Amino acid sequence: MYPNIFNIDHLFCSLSKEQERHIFGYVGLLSSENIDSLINEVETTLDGHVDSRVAKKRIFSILLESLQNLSAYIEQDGIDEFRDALVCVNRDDESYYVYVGNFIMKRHYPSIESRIKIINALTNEQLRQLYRSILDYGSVTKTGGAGLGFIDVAKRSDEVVLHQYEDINEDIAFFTLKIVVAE
Amino acid sequence: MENYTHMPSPKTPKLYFNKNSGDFEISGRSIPENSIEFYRPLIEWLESYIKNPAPSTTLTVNLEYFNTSSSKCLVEVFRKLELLNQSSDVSVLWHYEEDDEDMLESGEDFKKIIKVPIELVVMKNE
Repeated sequence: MYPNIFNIDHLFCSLSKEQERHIFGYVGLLSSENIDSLINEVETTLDGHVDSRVAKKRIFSILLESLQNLSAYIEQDGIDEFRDALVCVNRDDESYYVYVGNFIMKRHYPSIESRIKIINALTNEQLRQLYRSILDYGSVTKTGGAGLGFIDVAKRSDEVVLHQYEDINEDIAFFTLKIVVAE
Repeated sequence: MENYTHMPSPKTPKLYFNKNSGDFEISGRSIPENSIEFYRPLIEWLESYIKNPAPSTTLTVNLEYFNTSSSKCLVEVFRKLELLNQSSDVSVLWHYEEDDEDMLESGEDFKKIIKVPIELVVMKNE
């Protein structure tokens, strides 16, 4: 197991208290076997807790895209004892806050970090242009993703930020994204 | 050549492609992990249809959700329709619910990329 300094349950516990109300949470294995039931659970929970249809569709799309990308990543590059992921959805009066956390190979982190920087530097219209150009010319990767997932998440949200990054060992880190969606 | 049909499932859309009338439909949810595999037989079917199409071809798209890997496959479907444009009168009807700005934007995005007429059709909320 990963060192005691990092405890995914503790992290989840503190994330679930970051806003007034906690709506949905999951900590555990993420794989092609359980992703469907997790996505169903997300949808049922959102139906009961999110009033606005627009916000509900956005949060569902964001989680669907994030979890499918993540499960493909874990299946392809995951290391046995680091297949756990974390999902946490909270809200306050103005917004919904989606946290998605997972272990990654540190060598993959620079490209993720640079993508976060790029999408945060772009206006909404620029994001749409980038999305369109990848849709038009981009190639499909070997996992079936088109490199579009991250941009799609950014388009549907008001903010995507790196919330937390923690070294686990010399090869592996745990990182959590925070995605904010307006009510 | 048969019509191409697929019954909807929780993760895949209804596909109804009638070769005689040229009425095509993609509706429901398109959120499979591997969209390429799901859409491959349809793309192959369209390649055959192009050789002997109906005089007019209308594709109705009415999706509640689609993931980004499906969006790439939808582009492939539309690209096949572009090839048809010489021999069949082609149009796409892209449906979106009144308050679903994201689905409207997606329709607008495809409209900018694809060289067949795409009409954006608003559906009033009940």
